[in-house]
Amino acid sequence: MNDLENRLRHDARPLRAASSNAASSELANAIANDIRERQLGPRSRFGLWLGIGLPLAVAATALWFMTPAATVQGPVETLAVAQPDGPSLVALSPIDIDALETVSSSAPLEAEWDALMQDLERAKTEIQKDLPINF
Amino acid sequence: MKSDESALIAAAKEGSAGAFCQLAESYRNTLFRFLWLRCGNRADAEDAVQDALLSAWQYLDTYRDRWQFSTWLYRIALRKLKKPNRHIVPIDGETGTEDDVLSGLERDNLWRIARTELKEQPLLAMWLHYGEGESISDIALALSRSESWVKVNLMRARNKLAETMGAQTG
Repeated sequence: MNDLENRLRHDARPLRAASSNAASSELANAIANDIRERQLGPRSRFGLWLGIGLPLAVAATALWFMTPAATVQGPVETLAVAQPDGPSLVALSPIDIDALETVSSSAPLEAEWDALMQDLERAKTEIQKDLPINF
Repeated sequence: MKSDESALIAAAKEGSAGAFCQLAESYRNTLFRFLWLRCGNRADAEDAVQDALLSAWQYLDTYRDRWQFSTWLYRIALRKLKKPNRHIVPIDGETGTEDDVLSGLERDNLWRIARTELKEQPLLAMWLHYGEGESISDIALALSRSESWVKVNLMRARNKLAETMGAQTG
């Protein structure tokens, strides 16, 4: 096997010589030009990131803080919501109103809602029976 | 790694195009041989060399000196090869597409036989080991394989070549 290995190394020489001639100086020039033209070397790329990316990030962050979380347009509708200490009014956005109107216009859903509220009342009564008097 | 090469790499990482051009020049032929053997034709190999060196320049900050620089270049170069390896046929084969790597070699040149008999990765492993003197570990890194794979495939490739030569002479 050593003979084979030696032969492989020996026979590589013509291939190395042929490739040295084949890899032309035109290729060398093309590579050098490419590298010089694209001065996007390691440091330049970092500079690019810093110069463009950082201002963009700052602008995006400022925009985020400047935009209000929710914008209510139009008249503010309210809904009376049952609470343990008495009903309270909750301000609704137009989106909420649309959703409720959609729900309330549907008769089967209304019946289901009523059934749920009755169950809730029954559960509340049962719990209150079990609670100690001074709770 | 040689100290002058380290200095060139350091300078190139700082953005010196001139330093990188020197590095590129020192590895151009090595890369070309590797890719020429892989592609089979000069034009594809030259394109791949150019693409590989340009990528190396752009991503030089990812290079770590625990790698040989040549190993890192080989790995980039293999990734840059877009075209699949053409079916290798002998010059006087029936479907003969001229392969200029083989055309310059003597008929009994072992690499001529290797290029027609071996699959791509074992051929490249053989070349890196016997043609360029790379270590098993560097070959494994360059080809994204394990060292065991490299050792086994080098052995199989040698056996295959020995068998082919025996068949040709016997």
